[in-house]
Amino acid sequence: MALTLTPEQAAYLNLEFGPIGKVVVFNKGNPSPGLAVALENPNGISLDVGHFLAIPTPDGQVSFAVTLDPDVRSDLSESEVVIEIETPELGALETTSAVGAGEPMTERPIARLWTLSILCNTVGTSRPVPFALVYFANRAGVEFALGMNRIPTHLRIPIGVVVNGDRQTHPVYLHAEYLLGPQGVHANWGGLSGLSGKTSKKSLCELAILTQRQTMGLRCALIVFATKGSDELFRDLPSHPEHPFWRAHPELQARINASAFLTVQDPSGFSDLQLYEALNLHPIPFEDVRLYVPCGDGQWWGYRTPETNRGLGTTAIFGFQWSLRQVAPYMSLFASTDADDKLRAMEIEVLRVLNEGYWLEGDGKPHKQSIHTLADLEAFFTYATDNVDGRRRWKGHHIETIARARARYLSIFQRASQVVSAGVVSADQGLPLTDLRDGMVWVIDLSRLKDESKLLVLYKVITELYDAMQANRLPLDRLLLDIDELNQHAPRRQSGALTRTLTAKLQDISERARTDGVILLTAQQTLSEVDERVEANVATRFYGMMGMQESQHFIYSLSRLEQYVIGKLEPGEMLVQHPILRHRVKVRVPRPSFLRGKEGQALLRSTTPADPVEHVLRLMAGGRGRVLPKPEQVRPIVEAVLTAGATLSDVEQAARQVGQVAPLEGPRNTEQATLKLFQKVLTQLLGKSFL
Amino acid sequence: MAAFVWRCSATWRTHWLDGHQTVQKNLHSVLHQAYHLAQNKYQRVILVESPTLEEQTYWDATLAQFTSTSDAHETTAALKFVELPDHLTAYAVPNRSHFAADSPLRYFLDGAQRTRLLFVADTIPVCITICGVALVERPQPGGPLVERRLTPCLRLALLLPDAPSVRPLWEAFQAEGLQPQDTLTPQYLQKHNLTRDELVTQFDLCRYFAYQRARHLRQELEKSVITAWVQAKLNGWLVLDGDIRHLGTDILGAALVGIIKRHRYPYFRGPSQALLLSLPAYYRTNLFMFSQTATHSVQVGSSFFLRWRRRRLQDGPEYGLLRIETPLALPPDQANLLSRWLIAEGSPAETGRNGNHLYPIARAERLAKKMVQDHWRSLPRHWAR
Repeated sequence: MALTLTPEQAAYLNLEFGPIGKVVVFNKGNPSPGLAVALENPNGISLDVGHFLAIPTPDGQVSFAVTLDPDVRSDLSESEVVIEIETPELGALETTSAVGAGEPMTERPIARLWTLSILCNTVGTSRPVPFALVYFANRAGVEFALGMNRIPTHLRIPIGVVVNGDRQTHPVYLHAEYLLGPQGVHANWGGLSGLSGKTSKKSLCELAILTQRQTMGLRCALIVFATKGSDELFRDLPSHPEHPFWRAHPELQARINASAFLTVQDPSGFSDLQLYEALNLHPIPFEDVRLYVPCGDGQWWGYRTPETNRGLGTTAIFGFQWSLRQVAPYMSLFASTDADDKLRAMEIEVLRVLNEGYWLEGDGKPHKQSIHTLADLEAFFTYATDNVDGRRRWKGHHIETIARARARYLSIFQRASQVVSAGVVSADQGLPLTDLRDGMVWVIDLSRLKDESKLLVLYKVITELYDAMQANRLPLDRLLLDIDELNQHAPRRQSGALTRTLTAKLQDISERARTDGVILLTAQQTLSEVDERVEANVATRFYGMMGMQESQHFIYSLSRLEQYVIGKLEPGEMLVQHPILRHRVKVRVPRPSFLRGKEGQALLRSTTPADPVEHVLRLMAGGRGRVLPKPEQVRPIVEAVLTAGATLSDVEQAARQVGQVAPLEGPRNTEQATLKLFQKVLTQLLGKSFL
Repeated sequence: MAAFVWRCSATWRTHWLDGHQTVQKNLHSVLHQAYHLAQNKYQRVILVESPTLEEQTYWDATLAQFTSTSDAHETTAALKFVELPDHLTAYAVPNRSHFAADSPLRYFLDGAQRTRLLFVADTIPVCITICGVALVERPQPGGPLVERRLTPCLRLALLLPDAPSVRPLWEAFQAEGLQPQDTLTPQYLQKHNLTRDELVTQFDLCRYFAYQRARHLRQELEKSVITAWVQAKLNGWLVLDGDIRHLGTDILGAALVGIIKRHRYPYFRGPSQALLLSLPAYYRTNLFMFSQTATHSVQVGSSFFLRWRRRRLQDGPEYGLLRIETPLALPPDQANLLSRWLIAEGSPAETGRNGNHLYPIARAERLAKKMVQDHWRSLPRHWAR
């Protein structure tokens, strides 16, 4: 049907490619007739599910549609068509050829159709007429079809590109107000581990948010909880080989495979660099990155520590740990199932004692005893037990209850010893959450922590951040919390107090944080395993490759076609669901612009120092601001120790212990003081004097 | 005295052992001459070779007619008719191929009809029929089929017998502007030796007549389309489903091919029939000439059998066996050409219909059926139910 296109219609069509088919109206047995496009040149057009088409209508409007199911109509049955096309020599019926199968005398009427779903019209409720010509939608058409034309330019967050059937790439944007609030908040990535690339896609979204934050007029900071592996730990190191960072370290540049990352084309024909250009993003790593590594129990619990990172320059890596008093308010995280009112009352008493101390009576006037260390806490329990009255009660708490509380607290500290110090912890050893500023990226490495320690860190940090945002104590408009393995931290089927408490906090944030500016960027393998209240308010969802069993779960509300599409996604692809987008769209996402864990760890291993003394000095530092002795002062001691038969690990252990001790304050924090302490610890450890 | 009679081209040649030779135009003349010869009280043995189809079919009838019109029954006892065993010959079709780029087979035609009983007026069945004919064209070998309409190709008719007792019903239809078709033909009347009023009292028979009339109407419609095609002088050959003898002499010399898929009449007996049914794949028989009807002496075309596709183990002996008719006198090399073109039409293959359906004709048939079905739906619901 020849139609004279108006300029308004032509603005949405890929006229250069030309018409690809005609609209066919057919009835599939449903009340409303279906729409399909019959391809005019089926051999030359690569239509696939999820391609965007534009159909000009006689009233001067344009209808936008997306392809759904492919269909083949022929005078043969479906199986016969397959047989005839795939194996003509076997044919639905035998051929009469004496020389084998070949071109038939009559061309069969095989019509290749694609069922369409109408997304919208430019104006009103036009519908395509039969035999109307169908075109690929150009960029303006794709934007209109998806609804992205409704997103103001300054609020567009690019998250991937959609590749249309004409091989044109079009960026897909999210509406910042529907991702970061106030209209909608939170985003979730799901898919199989390793195959869906959740971490990569999430990081691109975060990069886009931080890159666009000033345009959007928002002050944003990002907290990444690296709970699994080391993929999140190298956000400050670029994967682009031409980045200035690598020019300064040519010996390291040769070790990374960044050139393949950005220039080699994947099977879809696009390189990551091209995708970044299409998204108008620079392939640069995150800026202003701080890495916080737990350093309780005398050692660093992380892949990337000041020790292992020494060859990579001045990346800001800090250790953190907490004291008893700092974690005491969060003891409810470890509430046991057998906790009764008596135990809870005792816990409240302990909490009060931790904060305020307790009065010791004896030898004159009573004096207040503070609790700073685990030993102090043990002493308190001993005091309480020793001072029970005739009814075996101390301040109303029975001696058995006191014993239960003691056993419980001691076991908790043992379980959380990776982040909770048994000794005194200075104020600068915790996470300085009040230091958060616009544009900062904090990565908290939880990957090598036990479950209890991990959950404690998550709960404490999230709670304090949320409280700070609610009270406007942080100079931020939006705080992004990147949490992986959400199905473990907020499971649908609660398995204990640990997860129950954290889940409750996440539920609170999920439901109420829209007005407080706390945005959850979460990921998990199976959304069906995540608590309902946590995932219910997620406005934007990203689906990576997942198995059929998971994609069929009702929580996704995916059509059969979408389940099929998801099952065939490649690692660089995902399905995006966003309130503004009219259709779940498959986008292609470039790989992250920072080093991945494997590459980063290889770099770390390659920067082994030749001098162990430097290593020992770093251990002694412990991130506490201690004044360190010079290497030539420490070297003789180390050599003497090694000569005496001790091993380097003994020396390192001693250095770590030094690092755990708070330095003397003020002018007493000197090189000599540190050196003396080192010698003292060595003596205690090895049973020999090295003074 | 013995005589040898055999077939040579369009004539019968009779050789008598006394050296006398005669040439006759048809078998009837031969037998008539034999009768006269028998009057002379000669002892004769006549060997008859009869490749003509009609002569095969109506051999017995011809003989019966001869004997009934003559009183030479004693003579017939002296006539021995021997069917020679080698008068049906199989020839391999040379140079066959999967694709015949030079094939002139361009037009394909088939018809369809749908008839049902509308209502019964007393004992009189009133039927309705819709006939449709589809003509498709394949502009070039390997190309798609497109429909061509040269003439109206759809016909709707009311069918009921015409008899004095049915006259009021006829007048009622005519008053409504409907012209019914009479389902009683003189042949039926003569055959059943009944009057019209007597025939219409037999419901089953009248209904049978109605369905036969519907078939004839379809044949007439096909004939009108074919006639229009001939008059249009289009480039290419027309292939149609069924024989062409009923089309009359209007098609003489036209580039027509009739494909007969079902072999209701056994033209051969004994060894010849066995040879025909065991005809190998891609073989044809020798050519026969045929007349328009058994009584018409003008031969209007040539005919032969062709096994156009290979039989499978589970297929019957008639699978892939076609009888081809053309209104042209084909020499053997042209018959080979035509066979090669038809063999090439085996691709693409058509499902079902005992394996003897050419794909383009099957497409034309579907088109005709769809046409009939679409118009059937347009009838009032209580008519089309």
